[in-house]
Amino acid sequence: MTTANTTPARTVEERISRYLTTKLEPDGESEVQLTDVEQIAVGWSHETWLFDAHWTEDGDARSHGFCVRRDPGNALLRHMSDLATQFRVLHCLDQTAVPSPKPHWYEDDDAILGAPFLVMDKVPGTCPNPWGRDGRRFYTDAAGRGVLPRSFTDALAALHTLDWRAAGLSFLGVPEPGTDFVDRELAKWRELIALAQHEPEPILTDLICWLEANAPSTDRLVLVHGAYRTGNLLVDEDRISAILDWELQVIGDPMYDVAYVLSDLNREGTELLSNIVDRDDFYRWYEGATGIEIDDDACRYYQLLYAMRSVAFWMSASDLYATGRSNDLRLARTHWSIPVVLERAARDLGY
Amino acid sequence: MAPDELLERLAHTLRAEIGPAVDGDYQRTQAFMGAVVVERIARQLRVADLHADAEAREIAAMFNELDTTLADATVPPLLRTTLNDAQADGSAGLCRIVEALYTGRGALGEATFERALAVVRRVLRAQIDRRVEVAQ
Repeated sequence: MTTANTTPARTVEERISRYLTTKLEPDGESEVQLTDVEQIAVGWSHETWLFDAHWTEDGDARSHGFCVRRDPGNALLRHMSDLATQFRVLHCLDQTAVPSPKPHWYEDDDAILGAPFLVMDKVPGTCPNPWGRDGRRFYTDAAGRGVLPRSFTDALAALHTLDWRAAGLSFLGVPEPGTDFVDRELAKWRELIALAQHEPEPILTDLICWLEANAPSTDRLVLVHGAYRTGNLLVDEDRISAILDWELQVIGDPMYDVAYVLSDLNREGTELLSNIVDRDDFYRWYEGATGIEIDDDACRYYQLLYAMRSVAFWMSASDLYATGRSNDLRLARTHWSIPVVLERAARDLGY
Repeated sequence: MAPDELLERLAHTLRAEIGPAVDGDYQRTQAFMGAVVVERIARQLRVADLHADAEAREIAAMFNELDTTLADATVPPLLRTTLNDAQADGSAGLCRIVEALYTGRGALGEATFERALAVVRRVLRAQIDRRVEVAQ
């Protein structure tokens, strides 16, 4: 069984330092020193360390901020999203208009840090949790200043106008015109649901049957992030400094991301989309920046697809606890998130 | 003390006594989450019999109503078989009925399909309302 924090942080820091020494090759016998080490996001997804590295090169003192993401072995969606793919995506996005951390190295050798990991730049900025009181206040204040809402929209527009073929992202899989994109998504989430071995859920069956019967046709393909919202975006001086959490990206319908932005599940206590942007402003700015007209019918469809996806997430999460692969009680709690999502899906299906 | 009451007490102790005394953000969160999980289980235990009775009544009524709804329809063999087999099969049976309705949609015709699905959905609505009562 894997539990959060099984490796003492001190040991991990020492191992990161030794690893970076082999990569940065400081002068003589000196080692790379780490300062301001901060570990974030334990349990749900990949383990993350932020720190500043210091070393001497050709007699000059050098410093650089890095971020290490390590596969804890039991992360949510682990079998659907590996660090090797994330590293490749970040490598493709480097030098494009999409704000993203510069990747440096990926290692799949467990001997180095105990599990596969990647090293990328530490990008300036913060990522307040939009579900907490402090986070909500942060986004409310930023929305009032007016810069972040536009930056939020522009970063999505940069993603959706990226020449993903030229960037080398075709390896993610390119859907055929028609319903292939939706068919692929439905198959992916069905697979996760099946893996969870949860008890049968008739509303979920109804939802999936409805989604299969009403799949929209998609001819315009873009790089879709898959979870574009505050909380997955780094903010520095009221601008998006990096889009984070490259775990669900796919080549597909831009409305898949737009629907996520429009979803009222991604805001709390405010009418502002993703807690940050006025709906009319978002439509105007997004359509102006991308030349893509927002298709409300498609967005409504994708919001139901997100309901299926949420159920798949929660089934997978609670299954991690139920089967003893994690001891994190937050995962056990998600068992009761399933009926809440299904109730909402039933309402959206008209009952 | 009834099991659900005992669990409520446990949850209270976790939340009020143990959680605040635990050092470390992660560990403290675990204590509070433990309280939440135990509370949900207590609620579930408290209403389990009531909910099971209601569900049994609703499902029996649903099968009768489906018989009436489909009486004059051309019912595809898969749906007919499923309706016969699914009666004692709880949620799994309801899933198979929903699937069989969608699969047989063309043969049933749109109007009959919609009416039959509405009958099933009424049961699903009642069930989910009860579950949300426990979950929230």
